[in-house]
Amino acid sequence: MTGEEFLRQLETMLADVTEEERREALRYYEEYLRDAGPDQEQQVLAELGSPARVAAIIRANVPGSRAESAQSAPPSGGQPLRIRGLTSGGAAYTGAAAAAQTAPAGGGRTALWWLLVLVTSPLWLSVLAAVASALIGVIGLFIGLACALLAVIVAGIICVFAGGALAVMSLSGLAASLPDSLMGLASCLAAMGVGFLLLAAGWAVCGRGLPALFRALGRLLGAAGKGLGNAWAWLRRAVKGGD
Amino acid sequence: MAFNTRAALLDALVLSIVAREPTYGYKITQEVRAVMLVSESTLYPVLRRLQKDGCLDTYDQEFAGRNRRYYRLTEAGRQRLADYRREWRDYRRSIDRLLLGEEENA
Repeated sequence: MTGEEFLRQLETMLADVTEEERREALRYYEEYLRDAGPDQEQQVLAELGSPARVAAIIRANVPGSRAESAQSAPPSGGQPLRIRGLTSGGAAYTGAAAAAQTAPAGGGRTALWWLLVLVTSPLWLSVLAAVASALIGVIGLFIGLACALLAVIVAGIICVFAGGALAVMSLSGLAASLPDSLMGLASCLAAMGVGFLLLAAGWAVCGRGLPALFRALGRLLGAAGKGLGNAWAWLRRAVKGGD
Repeated sequence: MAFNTRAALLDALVLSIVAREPTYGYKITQEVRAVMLVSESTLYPVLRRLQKDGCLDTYDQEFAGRNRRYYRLTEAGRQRLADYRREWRDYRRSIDRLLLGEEENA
């Protein structure tokens, strides 16, 4: 068989794979035979085996190569593995056997993982509880601060309105006793002044301080989350490495 | 353990050959066959799968009046190779321990 015949037959044998995979495979083997050179061609063709065999290996080992949707290609062909220098036969085993051996090992690892999670639960549960209570404490602190701020603003509003109302009342008694009324009026204006000051202070904290506080809280929560993620990744690596 | 299957060993060898310099299918096959008894038809599916996984990509370069397809390592391939190399060291250590009775050096 010549190289050209081989390629023509291979194309026929690959009729049931996707067009893209057929094109890729033919391109590869065409180039392969050219790179081997005319002197090596017969030897390479003998090594490759029949076009039917080459096509079967492609179908079985290139994921998504089948035109009819079937995507479940086995991970390797059933050919024996032989490492050079270890050709005494005992070192040969098939990919299928190896795959069968790895399945229970995977299940064992999962079981081991869950066992480890269970055994170490007092440790990580208490760490988790400590982190959670610290976070709740910080959130409580922020709620407290917000309440205090709200009280300051409400007090300011009450001062302003009470001062205004008392001033009107004092003015209505102006004719009866001038000095008393003036005293009353002065204290009412002072109350209004304090009220405005409190409002201004509340406004300043709301405008500048609160966003800064919440940004700080956000950073704190982000750092805590990242720390937990790192600890989790480390634990997983430790389990994988120890397996 | 990845090296329980021949597919993983082949993947690792191909990635490390291509990591040295971009090269073409025939040369990759010859290099693998220098250390491992695999048929000439085994390597194409390995190359194609690694390409589909995004570990290799290809480019065409003119050679002797025709285009030759070269494979080169992608960033994902570099990462995969690093993983394989780490796993290989673990695997080799455990085989050495069992087969040669060698003590593990921390």
